[in-house]
Amino acid sequence: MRQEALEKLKILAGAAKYDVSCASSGTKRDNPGKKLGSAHPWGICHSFADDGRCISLLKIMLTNYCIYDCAYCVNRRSNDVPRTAFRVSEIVDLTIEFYRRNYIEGLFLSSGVIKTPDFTMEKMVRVVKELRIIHGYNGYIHMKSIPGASSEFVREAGMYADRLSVNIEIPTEKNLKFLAPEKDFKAILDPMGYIHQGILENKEERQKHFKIPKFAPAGQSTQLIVGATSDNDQQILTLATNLYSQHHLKRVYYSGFIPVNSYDKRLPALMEPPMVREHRLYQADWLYRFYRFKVDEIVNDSHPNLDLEIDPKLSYALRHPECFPIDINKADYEMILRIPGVGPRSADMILMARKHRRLNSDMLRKMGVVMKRAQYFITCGELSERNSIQTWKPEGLKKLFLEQVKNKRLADATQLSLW
Amino acid sequence: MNIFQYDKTFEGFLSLVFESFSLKVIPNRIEDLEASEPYLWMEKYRITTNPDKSNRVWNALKNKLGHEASFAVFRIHLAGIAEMEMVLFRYVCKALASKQSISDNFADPDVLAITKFDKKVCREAQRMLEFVRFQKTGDGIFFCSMDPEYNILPLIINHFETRFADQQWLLYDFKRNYGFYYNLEKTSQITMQLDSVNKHTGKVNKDILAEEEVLFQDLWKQYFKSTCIEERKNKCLQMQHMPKRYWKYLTEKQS
Repeated sequence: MRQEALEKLKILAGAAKYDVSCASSGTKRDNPGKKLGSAHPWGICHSFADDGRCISLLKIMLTNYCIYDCAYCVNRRSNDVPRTAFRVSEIVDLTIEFYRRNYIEGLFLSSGVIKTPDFTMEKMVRVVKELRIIHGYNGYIHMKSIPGASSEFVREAGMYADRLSVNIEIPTEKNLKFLAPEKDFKAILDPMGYIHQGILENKEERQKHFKIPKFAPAGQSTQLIVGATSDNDQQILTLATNLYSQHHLKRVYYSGFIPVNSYDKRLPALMEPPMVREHRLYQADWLYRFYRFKVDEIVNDSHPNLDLEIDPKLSYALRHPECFPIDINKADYEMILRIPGVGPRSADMILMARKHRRLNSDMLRKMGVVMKRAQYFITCGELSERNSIQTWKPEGLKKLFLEQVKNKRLADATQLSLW
Repeated sequence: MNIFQYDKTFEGFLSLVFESFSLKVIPNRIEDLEASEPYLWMEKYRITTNPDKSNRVWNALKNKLGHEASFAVFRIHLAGIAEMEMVLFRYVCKALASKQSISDNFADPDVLAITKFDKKVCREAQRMLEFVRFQKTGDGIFFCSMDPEYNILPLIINHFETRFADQQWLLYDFKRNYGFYYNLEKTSQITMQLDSVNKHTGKVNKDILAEEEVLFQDLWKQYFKSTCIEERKNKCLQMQHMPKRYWKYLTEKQS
C-alpha cells in the first residue's frame, strides 16, 4: 500500500507540475465552525522546490489518462508514460493529512480528460464537495475547469472551489488548431464565460441576501504557453489584457515552453525553456496591473516584442526620453510610478514622506528606490538635469545599464566560485 | 550619561518612557534590571513597572499613531532585540511630541529604522506561518519546534488557533525555551523539558510518533521532489525565498 501510494503520487504530481499557478490568495475564510482550515487574502507559500517555484498547494491530477492528443502536453494520448488514477477518497485523505501538518495551503486539482469533459468534471467536483461538506474543510481549493465542460458542472464547482481556471495554453486559435486539432477556442472560452457569469450573478444576489456563499471568491485565472508557437509578445499581451478587462481574470500566467515531446516536429526545438522571455512577460503584466501602463505603451506595432536585454519599464523610459527627468517633489503618482527603479511601494512612501519635507536622493535611496537606475530619470535637490537622460541620451544609458548588468554577473560568478 | 533599567516587559518599557518625561532625563542606554556591570560616571535609574503610567503612555501613543503603527511599537519591543530599544525609545518620544502622526515621515532616520525593522519582524512571523511542519505524535498532538530570529511566537498563535481548531497542537521556541499548547479549547503558554525531541533537527523520536506519521512525511518528501521541473532548476531562487537557516526543521529537507 505504501509503495503504491508513493508511486501514484510521483506520477500524478509529476504530471500536474506544468501548471504554473500556485496562488492561494484572494479569498478569506474564517473557521467559525471550529473545524479544519482557514484562508488568508494574501496567501501563504509553504515551501520552495528546487526550481525555485513556490509550493503553496498540493498540485495534483485526478488522473493522467487523457483522450486528447495535444502536441505540447506531457499527458497526451500517444505518449508512452505510466498512467494511473486517484480514487476520490485518496485525494481527500492526502489533502487533509498534508493540511493538518501545515505542509500546504490547500488543493490544486487538475485532471486529464477521461471519456468526456463532463464525466471528468463530475469526478473532480466530487472531490471538492467531499472535502467541503463531509470533512468541513475550510482551506483553499483551486480547481481546473475542463475545456468543453457544461455550465452545470462549472457552476457546481464554483460553489465549493475558491478559484477556477481554464488554460488557454496557445495564444492564437490558428496555432491552437495546429497543435491541438481536437480543441478550439470556443471549448475554452465557454467555461470561462460560465465562471465570469457565475461570479457576476453571485455578486448581484449577494447584494440582496448577503448570506449566500460566494461563487469562486478568488476569481479565475488562465495560463499561456510562451515559445511553443510563433505568436509574438504583442499578441500574447493583447490577449492577456483583454482577459483582464473583459473576463475580469485575476491572473494570467505565462509558462515558458518546455519541450516535453521533442519528437513532435510541429514544435520548435529549444535548447532550454525561454525563461528570460517569460520573465519579461510577467514584468509587462505587472506594468499593466500595478503601474497603470496601457498595453500599447508596452508593446505596439513598431515594437511587437519585448526587449530581452532590458526590462519593459526601462525600455519604455528609453523610448520616451521626452517624459524625463521627473521632479520627485512635485510629480503625480502616475509619473513617479514610471520612473525606472521606483516600485509601487516606494512611490507610496515618496508621496507620504514629501508631505513632511523636501526629499533628496539620499532619502530616496534609504526608502528603497534603486538609485543606480532612477538617478538618470529624476530631479530632486542636488540631482539636476545635467546628469539625466537628456544629457546621456537613450543609447548611452542603455549601454551603461547593460555594462552594469554584465559587471554584476561577473562579480556574482566570482563570488560563487569562491564558495 | 544615564542608564535606565527596567524589567523588559512592554508595560515596563512604557513606564520607562513616562519616567523619562516626568524626570526630564533622557537615557543614553536602556538595559535589563539584572545587568549589573559597574559604570563610572553613570547615573543609574531603576524603573518600576506601573500599570497606570504605562496605560497613559499607551493610550497617548494610540491616539497619536493610530492602531497599526502603535501595534508595530508593541511588535518591535516583543521581538526582543536589545539594540532596537534606544531607537524605539526615540521613536516613541518623537511620536508623543509631534502634533501629527510621524509613522509615515520616512525621511526621519528613526522612523525609517523602525519601519524597516518592523518589516523584518513581520517577515519572520510570516515565515513561521509558512515553515511550521507539524509531526503527529501517538497521543494525537501535532508538534513543531522552531528557533526564530526574533521572538514572534505570540504573534502567530492566533493564526494557528483559527486554522487548526479541531486538532491539538504544540508550538515550541527552542531558542527562548517556551511554547504554546492548544488543547481544543484554549491555548496556554508552557515551558517544558522536551527529552524526546532532537534539538538540532526538531525531529520527534520515532517511538512516540503516530503510526501513520512516517508515511505522510515520506509522501510529502516524494511530492516535494516530483513537483520540481528539472529543466528549470534554480537553487539560488529557492534559497532566496527559503533561506538555509530554516532548512533544518523542514521535513522535506531532512534525509
